Amino acid sequence: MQVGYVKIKKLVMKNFSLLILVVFAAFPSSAQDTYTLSGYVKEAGSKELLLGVTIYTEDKSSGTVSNNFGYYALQLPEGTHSIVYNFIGYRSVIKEINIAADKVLNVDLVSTNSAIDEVVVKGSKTQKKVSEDVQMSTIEIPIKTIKDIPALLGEKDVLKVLQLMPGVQSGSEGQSGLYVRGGGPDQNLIILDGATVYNAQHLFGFFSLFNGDALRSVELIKGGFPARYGGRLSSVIDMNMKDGNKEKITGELGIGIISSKGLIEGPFAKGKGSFIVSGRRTYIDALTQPVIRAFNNGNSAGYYFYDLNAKANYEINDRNRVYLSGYFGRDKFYLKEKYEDNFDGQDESYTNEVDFGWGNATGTARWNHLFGPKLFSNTSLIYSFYELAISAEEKSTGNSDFTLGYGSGIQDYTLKQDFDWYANNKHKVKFGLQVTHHTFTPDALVVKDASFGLDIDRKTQYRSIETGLYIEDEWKITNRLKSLYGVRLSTFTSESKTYVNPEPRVAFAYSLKSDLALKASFATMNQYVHLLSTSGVGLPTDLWVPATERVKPQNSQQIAAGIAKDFDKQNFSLTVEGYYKTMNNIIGYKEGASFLAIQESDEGLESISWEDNITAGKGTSYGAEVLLQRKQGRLTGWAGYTLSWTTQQFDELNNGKEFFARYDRRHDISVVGVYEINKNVTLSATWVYGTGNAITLPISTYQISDVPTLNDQYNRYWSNGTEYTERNDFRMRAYHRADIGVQVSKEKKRGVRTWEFSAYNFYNRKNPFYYFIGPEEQFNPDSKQVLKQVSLFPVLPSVSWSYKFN
Amino acid sequence: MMRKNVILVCVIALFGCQTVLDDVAVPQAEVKAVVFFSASNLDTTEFTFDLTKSKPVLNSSQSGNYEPLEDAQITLTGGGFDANFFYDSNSENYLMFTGSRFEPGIDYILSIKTPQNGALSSTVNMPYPIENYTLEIDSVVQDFQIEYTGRLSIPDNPNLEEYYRIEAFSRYNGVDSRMYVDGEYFSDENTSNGDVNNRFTTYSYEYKEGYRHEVYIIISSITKEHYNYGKALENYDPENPFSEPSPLPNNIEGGLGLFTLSNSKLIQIR
Repeated sequence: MQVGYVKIKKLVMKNFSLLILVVFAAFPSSAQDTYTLSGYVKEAGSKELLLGVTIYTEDKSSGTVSNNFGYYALQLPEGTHSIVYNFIGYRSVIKEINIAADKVLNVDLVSTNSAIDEVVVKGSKTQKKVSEDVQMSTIEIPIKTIKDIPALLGEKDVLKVLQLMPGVQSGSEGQSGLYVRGGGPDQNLIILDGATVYNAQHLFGFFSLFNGDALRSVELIKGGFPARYGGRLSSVIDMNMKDGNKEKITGELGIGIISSKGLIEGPFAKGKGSFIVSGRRTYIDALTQPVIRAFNNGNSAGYYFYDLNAKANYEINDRNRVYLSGYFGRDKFYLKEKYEDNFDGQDESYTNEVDFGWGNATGTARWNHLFGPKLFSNTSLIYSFYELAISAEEKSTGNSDFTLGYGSGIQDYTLKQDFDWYANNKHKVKFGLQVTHHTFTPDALVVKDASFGLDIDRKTQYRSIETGLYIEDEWKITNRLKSLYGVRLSTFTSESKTYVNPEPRVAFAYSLKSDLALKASFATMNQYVHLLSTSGVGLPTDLWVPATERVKPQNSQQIAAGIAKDFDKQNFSLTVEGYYKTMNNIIGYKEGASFLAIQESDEGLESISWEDNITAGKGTSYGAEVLLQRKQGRLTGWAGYTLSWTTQQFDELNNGKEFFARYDRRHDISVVGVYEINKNVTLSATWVYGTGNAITLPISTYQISDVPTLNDQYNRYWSNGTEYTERNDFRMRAYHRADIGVQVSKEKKRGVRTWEFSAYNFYNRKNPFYYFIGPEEQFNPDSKQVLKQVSLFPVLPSVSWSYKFN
Repeated sequence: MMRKNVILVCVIALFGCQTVLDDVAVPQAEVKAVVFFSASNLDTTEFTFDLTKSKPVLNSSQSGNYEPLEDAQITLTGGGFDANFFYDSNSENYLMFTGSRFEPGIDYILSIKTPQNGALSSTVNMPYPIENYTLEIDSVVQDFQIEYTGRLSIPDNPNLEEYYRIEAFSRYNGVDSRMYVDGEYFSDENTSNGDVNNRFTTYSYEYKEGYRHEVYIIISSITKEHYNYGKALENYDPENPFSEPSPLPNNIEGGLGLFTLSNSKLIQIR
């Protein structure tokens, strides 16, 4: 496949400009008797723009989908047409229109949960058909589903819901990291309103940044990537925040076991604009503070996280809209100690303060402009920032004796220009350009120690430019055959090295019947940022670093094929997909290497370059995924099964031999059900099963020496060495768990109050978190050593209360 | 490492529980013979090393020393060597007396036969000596500590992969004590301007004023296996449960350990 890829790369590089010309020239201009029906699709009541709404003529001769800003355009011949507007969770609308010129038609859809009944609705609840979508390996999660599914300690979590999908695996117990089709958690492009989120985890991954309240849509793409996405190998998780209610001020309050949250949204500027603000904060630190002080001589310590989402939008006129959105979140662990003493008759005090924090900030300014009904433009200016900061200070009687500051992070400024061109009924084209300026700070260290005369102040920084120029076309070749093809030309310049890579993408869907389609796709991806991780746990201390002259970009090629079948009467959809993915230049730490290694050079103390600590290899992942899903009705949910293999090979690891990736998972099953008993009571349950993680186990110990050059037996240092199994050659126990929940809502005078009761790990399965070897009898040094498992979460009941204001 | 895992440890302590996995089929480890034999051109007449047994980790106790293997037949051949080692029960080591010296470019074979733990062997090519090097050393005396900072420059042979080691020891009353060296192992991997450059620091201590130790530096040309082992040992941290395991390089076929030969120069610092 690699040879083939190189050929394709040369071919595409040579003919990129020509390709774009051919794509544009291939579209015949619209016949004179066709006109454009365009407009925005909104939610009735809140006027929230709806993206991904399917719009088609009743005879299905032409159709389209609303874009990320709720805009659509459809080419129609002169005459009368019945236009269907269809979206999951909303009642379908059919509009009779007579078109003899370009026409604007904005449509409101009514939520199936809404009490609004004054809107004239024709049609019924209809599920979006997977067999009609050319894109494969894509999963859209309704936000309501995320809120309905039971969660760890009641904290609703978008990423953990995605883990329940086939092809997506979780790492360890309770973690929100995603391993998509054999890729690592760094290979997922997580975007919130267009901004990259680099570390989407709170509390070492037990909770994700995204609580769902402020989100409008979540889409996961595992393969067959459209050309508009790039920069990661394994998946795209595209999330959009709500715009805010344009009609009235509403809000929501929630109180849970570990956190509380609030949301407020509403209109401003006479219905032309709206805003939304939501926030969440944990209060474990506040609740535990009295106990910690009591047991720690009045000294304090604690941990908390918070996040804040905010967005505002304003409709300047029919052709122009602007959006401003942002996210800010932080985790913080702190410790403050103070001791007093009397030394030689003098009172002395010692204080010790440690702060350990990390967080993300994103900001997006967007301008939508309509050049005409067929050409929609979105211009974005995006800021993204992630940092880890550790500080420690020790003082005695007012003097600062020791200070330590350590930080790492990444900061991006991005300018993005996207166009949606509704060329005609056969071609829908997207094209654009993205330019990102990255500043990587793998480490910044300040150490001052008066006692030892230590004064270190150093910072490593890399600046680089990443660009992506793309064009894609959704082409209805015949009534049965559709294609989504395109190319992305990505470049990355870091230091004196520039990489240029074309990334061809193509997907086909062939309709065998109206509800059955065959699909296939091929995608090449390049990734120019790497995450150096010292463990499988996903710590915030993992470092983001750029591709350099020595460390090449990661790249992957993925082919996928499958079928998609809709069962209209039962509201079910079934997809079966097989995939084969190769990954090159994936990186890992060398055995025993550490990111904090420091050496002395002619310039003084400096870290051993991270480039010296890592090694590059390749990976292969293949498998099959089955997803049976029901998105509408009283009983919704899905059942997913994945059969997969993931292997890696590094010349410098495991003696160069291929080994299973830590999260190679032969079988992965998830079953999710949400049942509405009535309007006020909803039951939900999930069950997951996964083959155990592959780990390396110590099998024997032996005496090791530091082999001094001189054959001097008495001047040797002896120590204990460990012999291991081959890398990841031992399987942990299988993981399985069931969660259940019930939500009870009640209409109140000013809104709806909801109580939720849930239980995580309902049948108290002791799932493996990690294994270690220790004595069978704790305090007996002669006791034999046995394999032990640490399990993290037993059955954990939780309760939460929320109130949604009308 | 501790600090960044504090919260994780708290979570585990709060919710976690331990279970002994007595119903899981664990990999069975065979007991292997372990040998660490290092020598150089500076060694003459007497060679010694010990031979021990590994211990399975699971279902056995880890207390006590590693048991010596007393009944092995050991030979060292190659160049002028064709010698047998014998077991000395007092020191619990194997010994060999010879008048031969190691010659550069020659393969030397260490062969070990044991009745219980099979046959072991290892072949090492004696490295070539270091020529035309430049060594500069500065020293700073602070209280009882003397810090030596050295810069070593060796012309690079572009046709060879070259690996080096710097050791130091102090001698007082005929007793040698090894000194810690920061920058002990280096290679020609990042050669600039045709020279392999290395900066190192080492320390000696005077326990009583006026009782000055003799300080020696050993600079050695070593094998790739020796270099990889030394670098792995520098970062060896098997106690961290969250890090990936770091197996140590091994060049003993049929067993565990390392056989190394070095071409060394001994330099006294004055």
